[in-house]
Amino acid sequence: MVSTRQTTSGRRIGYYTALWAVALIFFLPVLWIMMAAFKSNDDILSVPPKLAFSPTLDNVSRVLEESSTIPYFINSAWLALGSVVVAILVSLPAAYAFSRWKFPFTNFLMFLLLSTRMVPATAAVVPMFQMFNAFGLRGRFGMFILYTSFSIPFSVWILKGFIDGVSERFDETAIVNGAGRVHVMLKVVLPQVKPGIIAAFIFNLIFAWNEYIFNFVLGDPNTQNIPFGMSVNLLSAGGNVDWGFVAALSSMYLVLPMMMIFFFQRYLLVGMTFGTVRGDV
Amino acid sequence: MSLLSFESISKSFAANCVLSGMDLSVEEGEFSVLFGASGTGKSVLLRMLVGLETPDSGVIRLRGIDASTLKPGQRNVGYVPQSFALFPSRSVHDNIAYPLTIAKESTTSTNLAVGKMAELLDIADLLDRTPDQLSGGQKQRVAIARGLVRPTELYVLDDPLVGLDFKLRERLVDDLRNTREALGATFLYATSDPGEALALGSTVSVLVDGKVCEHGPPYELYRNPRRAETMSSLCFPPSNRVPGELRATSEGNEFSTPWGAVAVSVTDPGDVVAGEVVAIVRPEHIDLAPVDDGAGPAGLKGKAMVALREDLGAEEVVYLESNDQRISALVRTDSADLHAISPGEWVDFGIAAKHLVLFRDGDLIGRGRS
Repeated sequence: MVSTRQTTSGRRIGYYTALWAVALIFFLPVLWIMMAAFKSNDDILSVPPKLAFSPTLDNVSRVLEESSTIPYFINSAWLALGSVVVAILVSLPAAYAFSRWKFPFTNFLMFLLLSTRMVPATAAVVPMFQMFNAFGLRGRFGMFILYTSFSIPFSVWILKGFIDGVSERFDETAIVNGAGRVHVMLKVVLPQVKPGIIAAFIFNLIFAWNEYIFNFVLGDPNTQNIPFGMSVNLLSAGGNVDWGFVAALSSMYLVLPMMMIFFFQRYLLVGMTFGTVRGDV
Repeated sequence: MSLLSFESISKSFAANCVLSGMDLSVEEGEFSVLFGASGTGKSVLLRMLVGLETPDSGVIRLRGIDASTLKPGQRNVGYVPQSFALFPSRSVHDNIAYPLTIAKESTTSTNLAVGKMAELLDIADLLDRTPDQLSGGQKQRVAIARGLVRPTELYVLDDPLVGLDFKLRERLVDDLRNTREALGATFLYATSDPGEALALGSTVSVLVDGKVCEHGPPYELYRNPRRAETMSSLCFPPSNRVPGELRATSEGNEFSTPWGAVAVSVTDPGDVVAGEVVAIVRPEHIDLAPVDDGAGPAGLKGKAMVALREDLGAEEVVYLESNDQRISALVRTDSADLHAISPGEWVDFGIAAKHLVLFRDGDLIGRGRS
């Protein structure tokens, strides 16, 4: 009996050690970039990497002194937050309609909707560029519409999964008592799909926050975001990669997605399964 | 004019015909019970009444008005659905208050009505809880309170006690009866439980094959059923069907079965012809005795093997097999001479002639004569 318990305990220690090891390997690049933000350029490039070093705020202050840094953050923030909020406002009624009214070919329509997210950005960017030029959409409004329209399909999919899980008996109870569909959606269904709203919000926020190629090709100075800033500031005046600047900017840029993932990771799981795995949320 | 009437209502789902030309009237102040087995269309009928389904044909008249001209919210009918459907993010108070909130009633009158309903259903101490903190019975009470909180003259309850344990059902049946009396309103109540139908209804409508096959006061339906389906289904366990032959003899009509023959009196002598008929006998009228005990009343007699015994507490259902026929008998548990009989053993059974009720094509044609 005792030996069985010891074996189980030994297995558990081995299991957790393996988990920690894998997690650390995945986290190493992030750790490297965060440490590099506080290293001098010589320390950054030393081989083997220096774990003990004299921290410096030079890189951070260079980033903050750069006149375009704050606009990058402001553009990233309004594009990401604004487009995701609008996408969810549009997606909720769409998902409710897809869930409650079984239109002919609903499944095919849902597939078409999600297929827009399956096309690689590098394949879509050229036709999109031509389209945006033709319609005069290159700029704030165009990028906002682009991110919103990219966020809608995924939000509809996630929310439909959650709304499917809310029994129609709730809708009926409200309707019999005189409620309209808008009331049912906002006051009866919405409170029960909050985890889905949060999951859709985080997924799309991270997408819009990280998006680079469309912003680079279709954007203008009013829409240039942090990934764009990192790419254009990659090289220092001498033609070398300015690792210190890139590392400091990256570390600041990482704060929002990391906080989101840290605080809302349980919603990411339910989001990835389109609400079919509810978890303890 | 009836408060509510269903006129020739038909409804099908794909090839499945659920209701076919059904008629029913509900008078003001009635506790009208719609009784039928699962799948007979009770819920569909109630859902049509509250506006959640539309009939394929026929008219529902609510207070004299064609209900199809009214939206669900305009029908002013209190509705307790079969499922609890309590809003999980709202407190018990807010769940009960929901119909009044939608109707934009003042907070004072809403709180007053919720408090009154909570008192009636004995849930006043649960008002601050959320549905996930309630037991099944408490949830059901809250759902009933929500359905009844809106002041109106007609409430519709769709099998609200289904799935609850026996004791809880007993209590809620009592509470429902008292609540209806306190409200003085009309209740239309669907159930598949014969006990509930008999205990609650001032009138009972038995739904079979998409139609009301019999309608009347529960006592009358139980004692003097006119239709075989009514007698078969309106008791627990379901009544026994004894196939046999109606014969004319020099001493009158006789019902002949593999377990003997009994004299019968027919309801309409001019209209009855000899031939195959079915006698229905309630489980409580099957007498059991140990084999060759010599006991038992005059009437049909035979031997049967005990297939199963089901203890209900004070009573027991004994399932028997005789001549390839399944018979269920309801006996008192304290019957000492049956105590030692186990499944697989044989017993004598007897059915008094007066308890045999004869039907042909589902219609009453006569009864056994003592």
